[in-house]
Amino acid sequence: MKFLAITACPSGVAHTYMAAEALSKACKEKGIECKVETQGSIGIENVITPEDVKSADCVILTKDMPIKNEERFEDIPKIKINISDAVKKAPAIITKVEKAILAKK
Amino acid sequence: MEKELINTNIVLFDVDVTEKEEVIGLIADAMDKDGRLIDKKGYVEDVLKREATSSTAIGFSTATPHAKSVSVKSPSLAFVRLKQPMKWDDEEITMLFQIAVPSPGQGDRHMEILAQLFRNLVYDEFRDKLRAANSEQEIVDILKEF
Repeated sequence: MKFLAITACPSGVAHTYMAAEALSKACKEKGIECKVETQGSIGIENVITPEDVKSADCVILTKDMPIKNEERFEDIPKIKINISDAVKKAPAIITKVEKAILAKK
Repeated sequence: MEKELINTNIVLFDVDVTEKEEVIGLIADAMDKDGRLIDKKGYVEDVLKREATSSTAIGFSTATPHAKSVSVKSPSLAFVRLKQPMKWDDEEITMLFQIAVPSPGQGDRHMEILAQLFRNLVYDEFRDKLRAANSEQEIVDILKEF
């Protein structure tokens, strides 16, 4: 399984990076491949490419700020979450998303 | 010479407060005394404005009040350990990072360090080290590793 995620927060200083790390950490712990793009104060990092999208099962987007280039994900399921939940409850979110994806397959 | 992001003047231990505004003000005092702010009042207002949009309590018993503000002279990362836990919106916290970043920005180096700090915060071992540190210098050393 492969998840994508994009994190972005209003100031682009704190939550963007905590959420990115929390989501990658939660995926790693479950053995799920994961790529997280950050749209923060230091610009866009770890950009998700069309190839990434092709091989991914879903994308998790934080909904506190408009996500740039969201149209990239037209063809895969999108899950929108609060960024503070991403920081505090990443393992629970990843488990839930994994279950939903498995149920669809 | 450009000022370092953190030094022992803005690491505070055993801070005895119960209100958000109180601790934010105390840290702003320390930053101001260390020559890091242009306008202390303006900076505090910007931090509180940010707090009003959504809580900066991030779980892990930690809060991260911050502002990118025209009232800031040099990018600063202050660290506080509280004497006793306090309420921060609907969470209980025991430590804080308070951040001051000038607006407009001064290049990305400081922001990269802060990004790395926040990435580290989600790991237990990192937070345990900050809790166990015995001196202000130890905190500075841990946070300078990035």
